[in-house]
Amino acid sequence: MTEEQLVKALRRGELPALEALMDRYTPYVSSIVSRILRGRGPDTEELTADVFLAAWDNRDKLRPGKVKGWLGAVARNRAFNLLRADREALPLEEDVLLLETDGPDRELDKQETARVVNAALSRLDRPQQELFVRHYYYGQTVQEAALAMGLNLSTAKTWLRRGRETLKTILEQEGYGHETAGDFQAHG
Amino acid sequence: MKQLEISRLMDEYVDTEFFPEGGSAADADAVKARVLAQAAPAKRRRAPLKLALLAAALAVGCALCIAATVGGPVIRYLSGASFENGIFDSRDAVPPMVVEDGRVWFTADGQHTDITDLIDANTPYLYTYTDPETMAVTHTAVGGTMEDLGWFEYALWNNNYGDAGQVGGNYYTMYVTIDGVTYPSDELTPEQEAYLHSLGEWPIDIVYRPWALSAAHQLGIGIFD
Repeated sequence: MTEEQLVKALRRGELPALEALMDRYTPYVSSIVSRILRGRGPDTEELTADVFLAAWDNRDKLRPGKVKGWLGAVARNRAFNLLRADREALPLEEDVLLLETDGPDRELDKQETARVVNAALSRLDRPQQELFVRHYYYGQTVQEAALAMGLNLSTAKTWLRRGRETLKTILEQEGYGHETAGDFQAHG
Repeated sequence: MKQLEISRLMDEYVDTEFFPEGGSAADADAVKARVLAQAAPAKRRRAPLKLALLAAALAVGCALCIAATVGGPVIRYLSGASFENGIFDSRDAVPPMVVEDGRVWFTADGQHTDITDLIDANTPYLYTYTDPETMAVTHTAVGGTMEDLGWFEYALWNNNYGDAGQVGGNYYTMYVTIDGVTYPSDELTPEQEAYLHSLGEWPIDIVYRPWALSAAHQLGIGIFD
């Protein structure tokens, strides 16, 4: 069954299509969730199921060719939100950007945020993009991501720092903050 | 000073190219059971022939009725399923046939018609009903052999422009192909499932019963395309 047929069938509300969606993507969704939740097996199963229920409830929003990305985004965000709700530390290095503001606080809406993030990633070389996404999006530890990409740890940390600096630069260029002489504050 | 969490900024990002593999997978059957319990309270495949079990066999259907919305007709299927404001509810659906004394009887819409000699693996029995209130048209198809009986019901409304979806049982089988050999998805061994998990994606094919395809063709509805 092609993805186009699958999406059409989901939109018609056909349960076999939902089963096919789960057969196709449960390993992918649960691997994202389990990597972020780390050791919380029952939560992994429940949250994985929640992702597919969200896909079912929002099947009109699914588009052929974008289903995997949609599922991955929902899985990732829900897993991170669960950790935040439980006040657990995220498995991330230096998650905080510290910006000095010299004017009224300016909040980024979702569209602006997506634009800023995409702009920052596009300025990085592809391997650096991949590392940044593996760590800050998929929650792989620096060690895991470095191993998967065949990098030594020092190079990986350098690349992540470059990604953070690029993101900070773009935020400042957007008028969110301004250049500071200080460095980032370590988190966690 | 303003603090921004990179992880929160990344909430608005959607990855379309990296998709790293690895990490442990959840129990796929347990996940499916959880999801289907909420998306459809009961499902059936390969309905057995005995009268009691056939009567208890609920349709493999579509969305549950989640919340009421305003407007739109209520489309009522002969099987007991309903469609209202874009929400399909098959929780009350029952098959439109029973087996008594070795014969298959069509029982929807108050009928009691012996269709035993009218159906086989390739030939469906078709019944069309038009609701005089909503003018919705439901097509019911029953087909198969005594050992593999199945059915589905499909509704159209708004002069055939509205597609309310179908409900049914045992009118399709899902298959998985491993190394060129095809298996029904509900007959995989744990080793086969583990192997498929390692691939990341399962190559699934849904194969509809020949009688179901014939029914859709005769009715001119491309629901299994």
